[in-house]
Amino acid sequence: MAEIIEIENLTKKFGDVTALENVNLSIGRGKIYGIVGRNGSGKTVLFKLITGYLKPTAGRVIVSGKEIGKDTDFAENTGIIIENPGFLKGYTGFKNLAYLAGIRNVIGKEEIRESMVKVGLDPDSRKKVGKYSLGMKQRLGIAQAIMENPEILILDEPMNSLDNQGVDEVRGILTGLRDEGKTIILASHNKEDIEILCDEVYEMDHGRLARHDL
Amino acid sequence: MDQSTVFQFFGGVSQDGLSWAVDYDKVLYELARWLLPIGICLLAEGVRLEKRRNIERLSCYRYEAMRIWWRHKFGRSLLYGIASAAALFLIVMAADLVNAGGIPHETWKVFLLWIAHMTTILSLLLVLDLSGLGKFAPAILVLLEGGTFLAGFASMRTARFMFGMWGMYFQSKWYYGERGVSVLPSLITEGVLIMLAYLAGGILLKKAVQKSIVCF
Repeated sequence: MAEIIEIENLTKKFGDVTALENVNLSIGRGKIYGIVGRNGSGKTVLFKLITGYLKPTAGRVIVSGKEIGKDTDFAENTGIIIENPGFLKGYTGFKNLAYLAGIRNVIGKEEIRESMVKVGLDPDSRKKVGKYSLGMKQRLGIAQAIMENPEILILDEPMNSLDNQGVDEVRGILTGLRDEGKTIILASHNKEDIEILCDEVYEMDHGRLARHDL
Repeated sequence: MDQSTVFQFFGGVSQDGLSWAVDYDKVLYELARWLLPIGICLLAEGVRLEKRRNIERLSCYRYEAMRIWWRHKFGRSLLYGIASAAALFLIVMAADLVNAGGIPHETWKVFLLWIAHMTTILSLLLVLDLSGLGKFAPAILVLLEGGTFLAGFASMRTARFMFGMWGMYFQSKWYYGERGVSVLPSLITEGVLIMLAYLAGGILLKKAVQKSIVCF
């Protein structure tokens, strides 16, 4: 199986603080990878380095054969949720997604509607995102990550703020995408998410990554 | 002409018979009147940038290259900023039309200098926003405008080099004759500044990503 993401000797320092130390990881296609670890262990920094939001102090990240920061600035063909997804509060959910979709311009209104319905949001709702609950914003975040049918999904705590029904729906969406051959990397505090969803699990501790047995 | 509201708010501070030592209160009053529309436009653009900061993390990676994202952000922000600056000017001009039944012939000159100057200020706002000074950027720029104007007003020798002078019709050669600031060189300099701001933004962006201080 060809690796879709290669992380080699990745280190990230902020001044004297080492957030990530010599991380190595190979991510294959069509699997769900879980990253667990306490708050501040370096999960989000790792995700930001993979996506290109941060530049590494040392080492490199290769996504779909392209080195981040050298061949491309951001990971291509990727859907991302990192930390709380932010939207334009004065726009409806649909308008927010339409604005984002307009950048790559690879999908139309129908795909946007489908992704919203998939996560349990009404695309015709006139409710502004500013009036959304945290759970609805999270659902919208997931919709924006999946709407363009990316090969890779990088999801930092995607179940945050979701109710039980929402968690079940998102789990169903993620396993469905995995079955379609998509690669998913997710961080979660929830042990159940990790056990149910993930094919491989890694634990982050003080910036170091180690294989974690399920 | 000096009854025109457009000239009062967008023409800048007139030099006619004013001496800093004697009439500093009048100069400061006219300067405050000049800074008011600049402050309104900066505030509007600052609020717009702040509102959009939330969605930048989700939008920037879709451009795939940072320079493309910056080009879009720079271009779009300048367009919005110029539109709001022009709208403000037109609103005041409409008020003049209603009150006086007409507008002075020289209004287009005031408009040209104001828009060129506002475009430069807005491009500087975008660079300051990238440098992590976002919330303070409008205040910094108003201070820059006011400070450089006062420096130029105090010494006519250096006036033409002072940023705060370049947008004022009443300080230009168009109004003030030979003693005024040359229009074409100041417009060219502002054009160069806008280009430099765009280039500096690209460099700053790389550093900002390294330090994680930009929208990410």
